[in-house]
Amino acid sequence: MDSADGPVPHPVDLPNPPSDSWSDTVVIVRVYNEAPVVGGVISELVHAGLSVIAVDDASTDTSAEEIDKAGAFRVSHPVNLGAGGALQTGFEAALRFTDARYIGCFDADGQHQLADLLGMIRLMRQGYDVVMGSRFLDSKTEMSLLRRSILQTATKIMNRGEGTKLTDAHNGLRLVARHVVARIRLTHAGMAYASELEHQLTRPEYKVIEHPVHILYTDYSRAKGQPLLNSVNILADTITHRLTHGKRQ
Amino acid sequence: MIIKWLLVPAVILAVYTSLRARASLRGQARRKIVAFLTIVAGVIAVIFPDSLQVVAEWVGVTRGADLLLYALALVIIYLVGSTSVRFREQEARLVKLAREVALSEAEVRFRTRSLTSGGAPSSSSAPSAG
Repeated sequence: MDSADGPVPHPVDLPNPPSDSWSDTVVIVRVYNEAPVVGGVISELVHAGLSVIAVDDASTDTSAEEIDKAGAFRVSHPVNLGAGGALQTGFEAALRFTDARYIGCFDADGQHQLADLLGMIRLMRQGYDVVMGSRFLDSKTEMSLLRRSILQTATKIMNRGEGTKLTDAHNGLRLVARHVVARIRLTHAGMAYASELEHQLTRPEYKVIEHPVHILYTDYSRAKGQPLLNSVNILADTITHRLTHGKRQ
Repeated sequence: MIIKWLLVPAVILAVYTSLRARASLRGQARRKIVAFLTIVAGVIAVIFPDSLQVVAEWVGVTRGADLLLYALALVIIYLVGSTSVRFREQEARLVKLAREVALSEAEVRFRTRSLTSGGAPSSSSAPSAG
């Protein structure tokens, strides 16, 4: 029946079966108007044998088709919910449709490296609950001095009074155990979700570790992300979060 | 100046009650009572314009219009607070609804697909009862 569609490439509507070596992990990619790059990013994950759930946050371009072509399981929001909302949807989809032990987050814009994720999975298997990517564990990631200092300030504010000390509190590349994901409730739908997520990932009872990652600031992500202004947003969000939520319970 | 002893608690009360405005039955009833009292006070103030002046002088405000201004300020503070709380609650509801729609739609595709292709390949990606 799908062949009746003719030249239209039929969507792959199952989570792509992972290869045996990575069958314990499902990767969440949240997508909002990333049509030029998302296909390549997801294909790379799929070809590496990872199961991928892509959350299409009501993209207005052809992102949904690109996701289907690349072979990921697609969950499409009817209306745009923002980064935090999409991530929460991805978590719930992973819990509902898969029985993966580890759930990873990967950016759709191509700034994360597959090799870093695979390294994090290997580290995770040694018995951790959360593996966080960090840009500051080594100097592989090149970024401007201003950007670096803003992100490190945000991290310091985040860390105050928290159980686990992180060197990079706003890294999108994370790997989280299923039982931790089951407890995550993100109420901020927008960009401010990051502080909230970090808060819920670093409860004192979890074994959290960082893994050095290399972020590639491509021309595409630079053009899209307005990186520096976004760091200002992150800093402001973090301070607001600190003020309204106070110390960890 | 009685007005000081009235305004300070009133501001605090307005902020506090507006920020925890819930769609509870008690809250609704309270809002209806406030609305009714506002109408009564408005009618009285229109029919007897001097009454506002009398009340103003009694609480220590020079003019009746100033008293009205203070009352208006309190109302605006309450409105801003309760509207923002309502807005956020509404947004949270919308997020939940949209997420549920997205997940059910994905699940339908998931299931029809596994029927037509003769069952999902046995792997860790097989659905675990939604």
